[in-house]
Amino acid sequence: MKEPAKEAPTVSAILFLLAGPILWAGHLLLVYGVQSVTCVVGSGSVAPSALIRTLVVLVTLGAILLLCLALFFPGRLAHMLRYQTPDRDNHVFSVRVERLLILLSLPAVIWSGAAAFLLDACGLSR
Amino acid sequence: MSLARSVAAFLLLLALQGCSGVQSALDPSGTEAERIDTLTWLLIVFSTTVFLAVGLITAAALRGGGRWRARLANERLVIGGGVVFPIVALTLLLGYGFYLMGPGSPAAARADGQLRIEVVGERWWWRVTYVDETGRRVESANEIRLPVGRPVQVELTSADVIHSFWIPRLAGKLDMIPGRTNRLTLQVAEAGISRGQCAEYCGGPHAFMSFFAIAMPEDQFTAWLDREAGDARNPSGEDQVAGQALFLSSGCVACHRVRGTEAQGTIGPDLTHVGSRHSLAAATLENDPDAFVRWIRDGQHVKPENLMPPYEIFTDGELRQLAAYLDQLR
Repeated sequence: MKEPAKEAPTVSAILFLLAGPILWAGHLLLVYGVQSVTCVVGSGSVAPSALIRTLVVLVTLGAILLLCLALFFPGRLAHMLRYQTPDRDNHVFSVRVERLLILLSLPAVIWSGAAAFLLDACGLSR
Repeated sequence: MSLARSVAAFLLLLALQGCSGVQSALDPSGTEAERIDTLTWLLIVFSTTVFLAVGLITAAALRGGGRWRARLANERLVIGGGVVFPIVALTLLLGYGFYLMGPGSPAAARADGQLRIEVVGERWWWRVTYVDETGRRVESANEIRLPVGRPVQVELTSADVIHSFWIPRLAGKLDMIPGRTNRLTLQVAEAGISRGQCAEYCGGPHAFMSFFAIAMPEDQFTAWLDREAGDARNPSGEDQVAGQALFLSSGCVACHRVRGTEAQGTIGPDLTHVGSRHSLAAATLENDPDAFVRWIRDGQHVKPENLMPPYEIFTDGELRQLAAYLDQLR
């Protein structure tokens, strides 16, 4: 029988495994939030597009940096989240899942950020 | 046939109703709606293919035996199907989406600036003003007329709450927000009638806030706009004259305008040419004398909570006279 005290907390496991999608979701929220708020607040005399692009670039670079840290240093992330698995197979599996999901999230973050340069920032408010 | 199959067949028939008709996004008649339709079918085919592939893989894993499971557990398949394929496929789809929505898209309609239509969402009707290249403003309501083939800029805003302007056959929906003007370019491919609908819940009679968009050949549109810019026709028949007198003396003028008469109200829809419109009460009723009678006397049942008070002061004869007057305003 497994000892519950030695099992990694469920929340830690979820946060570790889903680090990529969580960062992706946070990036999407910030990009949409920045775009919507700036379009609403920005008036005709100010050019909100330049401001939006600058903010989106900063947010996107920040998200890419965090994703890369999680991709290349999964051990540190696991330690930070207190995600420790005594079983080596489990550990290897967890790290591979975490990395695969980060690899999926990286292009998503880059494409979300690229939209600021390819579409009219405040042209439509559907 | 079992009950379940009968219900399924009935639901399928109901769903098929959405594939065509004056309010179907799957039966496009405008440039932007055609782009949306293309993207919709592309996504449906792509999603169906992925769904079937995943279903087959799952079936093989469950029933295919150890050999199939071993093949499916291969890392190449996991990484190829779980990482590489989504990245490549979604990148291609996103690129296509950027191409369709971006300013460089060759399919994007560009308004020529010769005609602008201002549409204001009101509770629960549409104030429509045509502005031509000379700056002439022609006010109408609850109906939009468009010249075939010419891109027209539609400026959308709201006087009260958030509404949303949507003509599924012509374009995607766009919100109408108080204090903000959103712009949409409509280009109709062929003459005909499409139906539009408020697509953002805006209060009680939201579902009855509709309108018709009528696309006409260029020459007919020009002639129609000239007629629409003119004053109301003077009533000629006995009932029509009596109806006009009732209209001008019973409080209708406080809210409605009939150009060329003393009626100069602006709270409600302009009625100068109301008889020529395709519908009454924002596409809620047919446009005929009976519908006028029903609306004036019983409008709260036709369109509950609408802001026009019920007029129960008129006799049946007076209602007929009022209807005769309004019906001849063409």
